[in-house]
Amino acid sequence: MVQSLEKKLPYASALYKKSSGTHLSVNRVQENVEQVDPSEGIVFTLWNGQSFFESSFDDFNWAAIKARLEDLAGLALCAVDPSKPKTDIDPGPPIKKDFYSALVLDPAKVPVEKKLNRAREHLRSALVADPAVTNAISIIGDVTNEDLFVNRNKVISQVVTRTDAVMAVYLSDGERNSEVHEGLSKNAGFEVAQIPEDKIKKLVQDGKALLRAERLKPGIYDVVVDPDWAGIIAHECFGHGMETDLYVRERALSRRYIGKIIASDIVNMFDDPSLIREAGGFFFDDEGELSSSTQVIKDGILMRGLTDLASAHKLKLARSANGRRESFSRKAYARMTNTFFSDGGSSPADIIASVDDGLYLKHATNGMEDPQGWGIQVEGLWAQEIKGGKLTDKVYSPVIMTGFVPDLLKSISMVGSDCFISGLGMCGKGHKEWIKNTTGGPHLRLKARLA
Amino acid sequence: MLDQIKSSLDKRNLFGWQIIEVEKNSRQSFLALGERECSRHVHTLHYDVSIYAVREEGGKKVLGTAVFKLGPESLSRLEKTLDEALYSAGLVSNQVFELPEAGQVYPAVEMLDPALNEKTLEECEERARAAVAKEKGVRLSSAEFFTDRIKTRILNSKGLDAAQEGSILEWEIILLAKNSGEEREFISRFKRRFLSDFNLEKEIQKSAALARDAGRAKLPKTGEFAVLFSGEPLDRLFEPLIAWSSARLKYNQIVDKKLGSNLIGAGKAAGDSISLWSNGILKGGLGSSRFDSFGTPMGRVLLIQNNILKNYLANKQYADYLKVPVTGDLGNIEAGPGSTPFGLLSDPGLIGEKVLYHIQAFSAFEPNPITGAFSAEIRAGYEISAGGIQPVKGGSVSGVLQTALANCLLSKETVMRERILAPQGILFKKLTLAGA
Repeated sequence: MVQSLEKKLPYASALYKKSSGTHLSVNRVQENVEQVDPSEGIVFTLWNGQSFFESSFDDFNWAAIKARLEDLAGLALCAVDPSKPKTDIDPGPPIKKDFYSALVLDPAKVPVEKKLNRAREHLRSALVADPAVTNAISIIGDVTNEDLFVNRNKVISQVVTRTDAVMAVYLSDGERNSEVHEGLSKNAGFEVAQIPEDKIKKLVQDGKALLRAERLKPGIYDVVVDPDWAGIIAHECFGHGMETDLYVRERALSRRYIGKIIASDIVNMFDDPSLIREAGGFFFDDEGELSSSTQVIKDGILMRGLTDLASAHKLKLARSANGRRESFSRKAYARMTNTFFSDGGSSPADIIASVDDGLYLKHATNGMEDPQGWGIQVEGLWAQEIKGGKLTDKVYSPVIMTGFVPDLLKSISMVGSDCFISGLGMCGKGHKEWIKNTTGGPHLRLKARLA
Repeated sequence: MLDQIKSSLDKRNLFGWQIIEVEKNSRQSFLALGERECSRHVHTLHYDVSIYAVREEGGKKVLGTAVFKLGPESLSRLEKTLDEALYSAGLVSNQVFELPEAGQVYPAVEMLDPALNEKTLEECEERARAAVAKEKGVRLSSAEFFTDRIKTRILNSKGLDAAQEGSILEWEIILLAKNSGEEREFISRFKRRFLSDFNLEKEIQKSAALARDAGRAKLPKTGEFAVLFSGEPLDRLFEPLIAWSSARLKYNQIVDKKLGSNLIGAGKAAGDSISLWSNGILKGGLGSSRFDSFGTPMGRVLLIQNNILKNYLANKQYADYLKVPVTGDLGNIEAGPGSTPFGLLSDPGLIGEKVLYHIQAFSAFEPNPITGAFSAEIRAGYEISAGGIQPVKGGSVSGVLQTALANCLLSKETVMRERILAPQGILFKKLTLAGA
């Protein structure tokens, strides 16, 4: 079909996407077994020399596909503006290969009963940890993504399996309620679906501390952030702002700062889908680009953006494997994958010990980008007082960090040596196009406006 | 396909089953700097199947459930999928509930816009370009338009069989504006069922003004101030109240609010009181439909009256569990109005204040549904004082919903947004701002 379409148009490609898996959730009163939103479909992409045309569908009747694509090719040809130049799309170097992520215990072969029992074990640990626990939700999930990409030079396929284990705990003291969660998500098998009991106990302790937490007085604070907070800062500061489809739309201030200092010189940041074990990892993106590491910030200097096919073609930028779709039925955009600050040289204990009067932030929940204005918002549940280099029992909640991105990044004065990517969470483009990606980093010391 | 699935389910001698057939046709268009970057056509069809199997466990009846989804290409695996689902259902032991019976009477709800056609997207593109061209100092960074036509049919083992068809139009427009200094952006999102509710020109005019003002915006002050919310911040404001009314969360012991309890400040309310309905039959509301996820007819149900929890929001499953009336799933959120004209709410003198902040957009506003706490970065707002009106951007607004609503004024005018019908403005007399 791709060959046939390219007889009429300069470029065509096809992507088959299938996802399947199971989602199990148990709590004190209810249990559920569901398939993970399974989907299977194809998207054909046509380029008429000036713009893209796509058709997405989930019925694989050959005659219907042919008719649908002939109609689309007709539309694409009619849309060519003879007064404007036409360009060719680079199909990339030839490759024919099948890729598979490594699994020790394939979740598809693990009995549902075993998965349920694991979820129940986690649940029991949470429910007995403290009388203030009103309920908990324990989730074990797995999803296998199968992709096949075809253009005139490439026939590549990949099978990547991800496993998630999540625990959310709900507590009440009769007056106030709290909620905290913990977990992991890795491109791996059932072998990783384990949350250690001591972690669950610590989670419950944190939830209990939140019941007596006060609101923080707004101000600028000396702050130490844990790897989850660090990851969301990386993602929101210079993740979204480096997605080059925003460059085409002239809505990313970062484009003018490539090659310039935008962070403290101990800051290094990467986006790396080739970290296949991390939940944002893959072998090739939804436009057939093979994955590799992109250094976004090197020693405080902004290096390069993250590209999808359309923006790389338009702006004549080198491709990176960041063309990603929510599903076969959605458009590809430039999107992050595994985004993180890399290690520095300080131990987390030394970083906390270095703060005379400040706050330790953990249990980050969400964030929001502002690529044109360089504002940042990161929200979380936990700000713990640091006095004289030691953590006290005083906890504030919730907490929001806002500020101007370069101010925040230039204030980073210590970078830990404990980079960690938990893998929980999803990312939207604005408020839609939800995809799986990860964030992380080591502990960081910085100055930030909190409330 | 539907007959094949139904026939297979009938042969399995289940306690119950439900099938929801969803067919979707979408057209999508993407502009970058006003030029067409991509056009997309999408067609999908799938079946959400739930099976219910009752068995005895310790002398008590328990319900095993499993949920799966079938597409045109997975139909060949139907019997194997059913075997796996039955096995999974045999592993879980939930409380038994009954599916709704056949013979339900459904309301007539206007969900489908007959005016939508193949040219709609192109016409929206042209309207957007023309509207932006009229705005001084403003240009179009990006525009995305989507039209969806969705057919839904629900069937269950008790003979219930209902169908509906709806349309959704969506846009996301990003404007760039320059007054002095750096160019600033403003993102406008809009989702409606009817083209006639899609007032693109008016929304672009409003967005252009906000984008222009962003260029001269400053940080707000730090401290406690009166804050007026209008526009986008209203969309998710009431979500904690809906969570506290939820039979599902009550049954799952995640919230524990009793009927008759005061949800707002435990009787200390000093301003307007809050009344909320789940309204699934509002014309054009995105939350409107003829029936909910179990086939229960949608309607208008009082949840909270003058701050008091009156009814749980309960679909058939959780209504059976808690032995409360079935209200159906959440439709649109309808919040009752107050008595103050919207124009007066932005006057600091009304409540004896010198400064008031009017917030029209946050970066992301997601009040915690369990605790009611919220914090959000200001994306677009104004500081209003005797000295004039100053745009603000950055910094944050924080509060706790139940405390904030205990001391608020609601406008008498209402506004219909995506899935809420609410007062056009809500003035909180005291929230915390973090800024300069």
